[in-house]
Amino acid sequence: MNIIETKGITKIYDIKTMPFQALNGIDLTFQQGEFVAIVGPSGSGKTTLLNIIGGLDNPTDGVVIIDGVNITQLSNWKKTDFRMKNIGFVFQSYNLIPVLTAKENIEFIMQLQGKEKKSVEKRSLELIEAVGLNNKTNSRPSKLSGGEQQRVAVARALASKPKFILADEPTANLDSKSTENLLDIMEKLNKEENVTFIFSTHDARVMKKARRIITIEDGKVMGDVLQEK
Amino acid sequence: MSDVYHVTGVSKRLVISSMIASAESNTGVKILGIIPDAERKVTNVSEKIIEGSYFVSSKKNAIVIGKKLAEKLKVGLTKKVIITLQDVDMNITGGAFRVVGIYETDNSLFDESTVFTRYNDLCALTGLDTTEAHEIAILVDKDSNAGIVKDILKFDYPELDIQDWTQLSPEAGYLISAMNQFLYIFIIVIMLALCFGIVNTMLMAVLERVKELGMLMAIGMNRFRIFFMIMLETVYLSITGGFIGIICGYFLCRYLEKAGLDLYFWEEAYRSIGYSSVIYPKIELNMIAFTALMVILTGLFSTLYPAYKALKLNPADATRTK
Repeated sequence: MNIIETKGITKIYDIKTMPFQALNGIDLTFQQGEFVAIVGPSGSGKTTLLNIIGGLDNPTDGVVIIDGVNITQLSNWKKTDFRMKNIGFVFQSYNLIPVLTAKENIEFIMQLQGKEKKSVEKRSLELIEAVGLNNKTNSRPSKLSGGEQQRVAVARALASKPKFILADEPTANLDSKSTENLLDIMEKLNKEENVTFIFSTHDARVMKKARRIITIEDGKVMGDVLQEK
Repeated sequence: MSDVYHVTGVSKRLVISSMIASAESNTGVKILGIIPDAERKVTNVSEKIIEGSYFVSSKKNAIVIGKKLAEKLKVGLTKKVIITLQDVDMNITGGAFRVVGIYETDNSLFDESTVFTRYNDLCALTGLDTTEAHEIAILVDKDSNAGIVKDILKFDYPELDIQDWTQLSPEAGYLISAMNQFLYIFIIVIMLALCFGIVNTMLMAVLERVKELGMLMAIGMNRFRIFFMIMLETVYLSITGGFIGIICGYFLCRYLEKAGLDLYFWEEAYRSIGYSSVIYPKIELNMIAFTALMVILTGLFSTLYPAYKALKLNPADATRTK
């Protein structure tokens, strides 16, 4: 079942009257439960594509259809609401709220959704256990290592039970051990929660774990292959 | 008159301009013929006695004079002074009065030109009937009630000329009015400073948290909530700062209310216009409420720009800010 469909996505940035084409007619589909890596050199358009799929940016041309909804036509207000209910984000530099504990960071999005306190508590504890941070529940981000912070970020992304998670170079700031650990957790959650993971990367270890690799160069899809596991 | 609501003291007076002379010197003065117990309720001259007493003894022809006048006449306690004035028949008459008290107020001009004698002694000297008075001083419980009392008395005694203190002493009224104007200017200056302070603080709070705000927008916090969050932060900041400021200000004011704030470097200037250089500030509940409200409103107004900057953030760019 297709949960994401992009049709002819084009993005042109108008940098000081010098137009720069970041994406050039991207047509892709993503299925429920996929574990996809979008790879390519710096400046190839990976992040731009993720931003457009996530509704953080608008394409110059083309449409993004998520679960039958054309998000490119939604107002900013509706798009924000759509993101809250359907999309999880993992950022390269974690972007946790520094004054909240690991648990509170995970709970925050559920509170934003207006969920009941009991279910929020239950879900956050489940996720903390799933990412292996039981002993860091009440630690603030400043007391966590980079790998631990990113695990909290993954748990936060999953907290709202999104249809898919977009991770923009999630391992870029991590050492090899933390990267391995994070990838194992993401793979496990992908299988257990049947949630689609799409991440941009140029990390070979991430590519190795991915079951599908989409290669982008100069804003075009240059390859889309499934990897045997 | 004393049974009128809000009236706390009534004192009838004889007011006569006369000459006062000692063995050394003489000068013109205003004599106030008073009933000491009644006068105590409307003025505080009895508390300003620095030598002797305020008509404690019942001896006849006692007089209380100012320190400045005593120096001018070169007289002290128990010394005699001669008062010369016109009686009711327009004849020049005079009497010897013994100094029983010397007072000193903050108004050196008043001290030099005003003396007090008993009402009955002055009536006897001038031949005035003891039912007569040149003026009746009335003290009301609150300044704001002066107008009400004035209207009641005007209605009850239409034949009398009734004036409140702003009419009797317009320069004091102008001074207070000018002080109030200055106070408003000070408040505006302070609020402007607060405004810049909060703009600066909140702008920093927004700019330091661009990445965080971008993340919040990305995960689904809408712009209204972001705006509300920043506004709420300012309200907390204003309430905390305002509360601490008001508490400190309140206790400082309560202390100065008793101890006084001595502007001694302007003492001469104040005395020359009849005012004390020591200020006793008074803080009122409505002033506290007004200040607290102004602080919160100024805070909210000042946050509009930082909040607008936050709303203009693009989540895609903001999350990748270094």
